[in-house]
Amino acid sequence: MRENVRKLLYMDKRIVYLLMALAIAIPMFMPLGLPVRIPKSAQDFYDEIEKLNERDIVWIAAEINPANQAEFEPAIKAIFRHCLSKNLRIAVAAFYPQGANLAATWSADLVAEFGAVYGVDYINLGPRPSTSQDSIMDNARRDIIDAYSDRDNYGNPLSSYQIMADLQKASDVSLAVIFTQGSPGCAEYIANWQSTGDLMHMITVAAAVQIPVENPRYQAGMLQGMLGGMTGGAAYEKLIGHLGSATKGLDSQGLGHLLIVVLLIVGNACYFILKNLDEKAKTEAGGRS
Amino acid sequence: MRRTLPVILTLVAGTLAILNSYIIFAPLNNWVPNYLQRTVTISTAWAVGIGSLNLMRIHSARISRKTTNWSFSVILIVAFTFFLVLGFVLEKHQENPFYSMLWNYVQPPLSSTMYSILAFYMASAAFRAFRMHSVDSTLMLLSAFIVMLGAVPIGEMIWPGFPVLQEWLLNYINTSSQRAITIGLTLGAMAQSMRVMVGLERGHLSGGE
Repeated sequence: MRENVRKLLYMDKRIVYLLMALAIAIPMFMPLGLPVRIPKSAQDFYDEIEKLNERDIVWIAAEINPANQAEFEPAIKAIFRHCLSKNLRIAVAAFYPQGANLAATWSADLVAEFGAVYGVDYINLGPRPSTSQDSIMDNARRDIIDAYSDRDNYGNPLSSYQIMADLQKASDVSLAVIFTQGSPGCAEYIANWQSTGDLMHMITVAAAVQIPVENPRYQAGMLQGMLGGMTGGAAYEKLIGHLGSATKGLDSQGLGHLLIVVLLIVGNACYFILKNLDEKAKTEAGGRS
Repeated sequence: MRRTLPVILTLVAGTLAILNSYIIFAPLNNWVPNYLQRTVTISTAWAVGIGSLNLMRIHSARISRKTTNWSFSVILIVAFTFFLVLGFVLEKHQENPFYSMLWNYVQPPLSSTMYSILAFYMASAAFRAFRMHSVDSTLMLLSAFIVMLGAVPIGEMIWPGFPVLQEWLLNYINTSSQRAITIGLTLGAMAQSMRVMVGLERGHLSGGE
């Protein structure tokens, strides 16, 4: 028995990799279609956008990098769909180098679908170095065009766009949607814009690893809504009535989680069986000598 | 003087930045964001430039000495120089299709792939290394069970109590711990800032007293 357990515990790790690949891939071809639960934080997130009036400006802090594509792309798409369908205006900004471009790439289809006009219905302020985040955000409290050196993501003068007439300072923003996976993220926006009273309404899309950090801020009311990871994205897709890649991905994520739990149980069971057998063998060997 | 002047500058700049947050005094409230904070942006740009030169220097030395894995240094220098030249040469490079193609469709998939591979390593590590050795590790393992299964619909299908337990862990156990950590970190950062401002902490001035 000991040899069999040992073989199982020390099996080729490529078998584990294969199992994980299957757990992720199978639901992509055969969706389980399990019902998606809507947590209160996701409902609050949705409600905050619903409360806005037509032509209000939503600030999307695209603190995104490619590693979080699976979690953030569905959320960006759903937020653009929700905002554009409500005739809201969108301003995208980022302190992560690729955040602004990724947001532009992921939202391109939605912008085309709703016929949104750049500079009128939405604008991309582009990335700025995260090391200057505090000075830029503080300056943006008074003058966004100056804080962004009068240049958008594509090097064109911000002041030439119609939307900027209504987006001169932080308090002109009606709601900030902050994508966060660490720093810069919610903490910086809260410190620079919320604590100063310029912008009180903030909601977040948090990467799964960031949920424990942002949840206390959501509970304290600093953040009025929160989408957590792919689960939050799927809940939001359900709320806006347009199921997308988060809903599809949730089956894969679920089976992946389940596999890890099974591996943990099997791994620990093998470990304790081996330990008991070894101790028993030692005791027997001691008795004989 | 090499050390005293930076300490004086730090003390003055730090004091003004703090006062700006607490005092309503127009000249100060204008000067800090318009001058002092812009200085940070300019200093950052210089730091990036110096950092880039340093990166080139280190990797050039690795290539010339043919140290272990020097070929990776060649790739780094070629890629760095290529992107740098493109950025300078192409007018409005952000709008150039070739530049955008490289920036949007090469690096992001590579980065996503690297991150995705973690799922496989985590599964392998969970099986081989995560053991209930002690009370602490057992608690951690049980929490992992609950959070992983509570976060996905399949967990709720297995047992409807998983999401309830997961939310309880997140809202009570996690939140109280996170708040303690946050407050502790903030107090620590304040103390550290004060030490730097008054010159007790001089590590950034090339070390030593």
